[in-house]
Amino acid sequence: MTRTKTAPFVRQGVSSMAISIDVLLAGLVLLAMSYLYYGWRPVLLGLIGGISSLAAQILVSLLLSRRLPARPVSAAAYGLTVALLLPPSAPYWMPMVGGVFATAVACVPLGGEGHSPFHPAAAGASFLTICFAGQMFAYPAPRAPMTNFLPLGDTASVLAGTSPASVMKNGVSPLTTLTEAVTGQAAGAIGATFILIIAACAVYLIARRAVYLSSILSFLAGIYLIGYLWPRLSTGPITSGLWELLSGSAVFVAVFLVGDRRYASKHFWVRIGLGLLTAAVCMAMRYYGVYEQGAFFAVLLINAVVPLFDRRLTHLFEKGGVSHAEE
Amino acid sequence: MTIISRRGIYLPSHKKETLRKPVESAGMPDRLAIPLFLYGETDNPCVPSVSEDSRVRKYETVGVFASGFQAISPADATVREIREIGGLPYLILEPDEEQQEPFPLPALDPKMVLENEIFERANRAAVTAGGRPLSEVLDTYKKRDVIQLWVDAICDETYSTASIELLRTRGEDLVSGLRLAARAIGAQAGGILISAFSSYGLPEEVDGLPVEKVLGKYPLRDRVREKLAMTQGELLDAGALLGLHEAVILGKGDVETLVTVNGNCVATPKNLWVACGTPVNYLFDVCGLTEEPTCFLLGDAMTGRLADREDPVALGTNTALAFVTDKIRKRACINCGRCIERCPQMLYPTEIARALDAKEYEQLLRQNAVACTGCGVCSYVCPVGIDLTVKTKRAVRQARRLLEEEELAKAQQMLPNAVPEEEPKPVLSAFGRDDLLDPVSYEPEQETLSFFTKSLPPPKKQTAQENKNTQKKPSSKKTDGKKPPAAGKSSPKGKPGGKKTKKGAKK
Ligand code: SF4
Ligand code: SF4
Repeated sequence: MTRTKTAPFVRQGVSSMAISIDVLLAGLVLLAMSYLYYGWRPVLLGLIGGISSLAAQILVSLLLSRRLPARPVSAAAYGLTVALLLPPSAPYWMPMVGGVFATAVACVPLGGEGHSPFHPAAAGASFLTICFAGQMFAYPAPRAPMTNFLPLGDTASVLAGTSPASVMKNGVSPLTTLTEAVTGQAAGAIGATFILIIAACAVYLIARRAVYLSSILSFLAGIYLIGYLWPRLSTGPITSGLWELLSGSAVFVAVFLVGDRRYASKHFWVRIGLGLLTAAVCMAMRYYGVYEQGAFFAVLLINAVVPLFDRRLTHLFEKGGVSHAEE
Repeated sequence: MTIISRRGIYLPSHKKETLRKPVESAGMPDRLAIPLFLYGETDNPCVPSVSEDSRVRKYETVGVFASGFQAISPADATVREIREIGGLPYLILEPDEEQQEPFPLPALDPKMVLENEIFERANRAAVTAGGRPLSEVLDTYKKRDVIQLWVDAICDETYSTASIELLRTRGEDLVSGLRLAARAIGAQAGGILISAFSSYGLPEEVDGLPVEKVLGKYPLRDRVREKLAMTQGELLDAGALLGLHEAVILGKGDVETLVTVNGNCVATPKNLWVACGTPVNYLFDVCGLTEEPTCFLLGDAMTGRLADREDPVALGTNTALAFVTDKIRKRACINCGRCIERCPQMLYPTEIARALDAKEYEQLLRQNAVACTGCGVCSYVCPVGIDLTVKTKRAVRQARRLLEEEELAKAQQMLPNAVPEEEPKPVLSAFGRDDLLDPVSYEPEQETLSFFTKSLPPPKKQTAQENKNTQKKPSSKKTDGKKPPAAGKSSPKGKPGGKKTKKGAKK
């Protein structure tokens, strides 16, 4: 309960860590899952991402405004999100570069949390993809839990795996089963292969009002629909749609980037429309782009048009003070 | 039960602390401050009709407003002075130790009373509703062809239970007041509206009129008003209707109001009958304090205003709160959209605030900023504690100004030679307090946020003399030796033993 010098004198609960702390907690759960399959290496990558992003935020804030940042947790959450999009065998400098780029370039100088034109984590991941595409998609082979941990040092000897997304890029069905794909036993990014856990995180984040369900569902529906209508696999439209959903970090990006309410539109129908558009851009990149996945590029592009809708065109969607269909 | 859902919020409730508890009288303080202005009127100055050191009887006229409305004395008293409190003019009265039985006006027969007699009596007895003379409110309703009137006993905020207690203890008188008001404007008496959350133990009907429960989110009253407007119905404040009943049927002046006294440092929260003009700190001396409050509020937590300890309770005030608070740093918006999602008026508060700061006034109109009701929901839900309501209220005024200018420009186009009539100068303007003219616009400058906690900054600065006065104040001369406890001390039984002239006792 809070009080100001003007009404209202009670508040629902004020926190300098609103939203970020929830994202951070959800990310840490994924990191813990990743430990079960790959050992300490992905955990270290996640921590490096979070800490370097945090350090970058403190440094840039001191340089730009000579003050310590008001919400350091948000930077740690962005850094962790970038790290969760990396392969578990990525070199340690990668989350550092991605985290620093996310905060020091894409967030603080461009308006700060919620106001920068692009989602900082999407910007960090896109930057790494463009600069280090080779390392970005070099996933280790999938493994059973608690069996064969990745080495903390050199990973040159680690058996490489093929992610469902890269297989599909060549028009071939993934060898992994759907069950393996949702339980983290497919090659992929640190946080993106535990689909069931991501779904649980989504429930938590929705309950905490950190993400918009409408954005997540419209994005995922769009991916499935396009995969269904224009199947890349010969096994039929249904499996094709399903594999499009389960591959290429789509579910992770939906929950942690597309659904993030700080960067999504504030209008229901705009969110639905932009969710579908993000899916279309993402699928276009998968079909015609050079990389096996393009979800975070799609998020970046669509982020840029959200303010146009929310600032300039809001009055077209809702007119305050009049009765509304919601009633 | 009518269920009203839409945007808004469910507020935490502290009502049970005062609900269904005995209603008491606050007694008489040793000083009353009668406002020489009306909160809801911009152009209605009041000229005192009494001189310094003159004696006045209870219900005697002490001032006349430009509109003819009268200010009356809540007690037998001696006129002391005209003084500014918080920049506003007040007539200071010193009540007598022994209060005589007042001379009521002749009682009128509710079955025979004429419409204009009701209006006249409401004016003579100084009955107000929402800071305006009740007669003017009724006149507005009449002009708007309102066909049904309802008693507003919806306490939709956090602390106030005054209207519910009025219904519980004076239900029949409320209905009588409602019937008189309805008769005055040729409308029908609909019934009594209450929030379903506070309806436990209340009757289903009172004197043949239904007690309707409404269920919904805050601001429930605004929603109910919208719904009623669809069938040309309107709400009237329970306190005003009780005042009307007493004025017409009993010939009494409207000089007392039922106030819920509560807060996180109040020892015994209560509903008290309070004489108009009683200083706010006196109420907390009556209820006792567990520790020294750092702020007083007049009005409830969502829409009230900060008060100084000397600020007088006005008629229509139904909540007085005292809090111990802590200060925190202001944070920047994170664009989470909760304020937009919850705004009951479907507005876009962040964009309104941005447009106001950027002086993009056309954008304010595009965003329909005038529709903001100042309900405070946007500030309440903000996870980083931004005071959006301050900005949206300012935006409302700016947008209204723009609309007025547009209308004036249109009118001038049609009648190029017309000279605009000069507006009468509002009495509050003379005191430089235009911000208080419209309750929606009251917004002291704000730099910091505070939390309701126990570790607190020192209380508001007071001069040594003021402090002395404050401590002395409640120790009324008519306490028969029983002085109320000083502020800051716990006192479950703390109440002045002054002569009590409570409404409850009148029954
Ligand atoms: S104060 Fe105005 S903008 Fe804020 S929630 Fe209420 S109506 Fe909406
Ligand atoms: S609720 Fe607060 S933080 Fe969220 S968009 Fe509104 S003002 Fe910004």
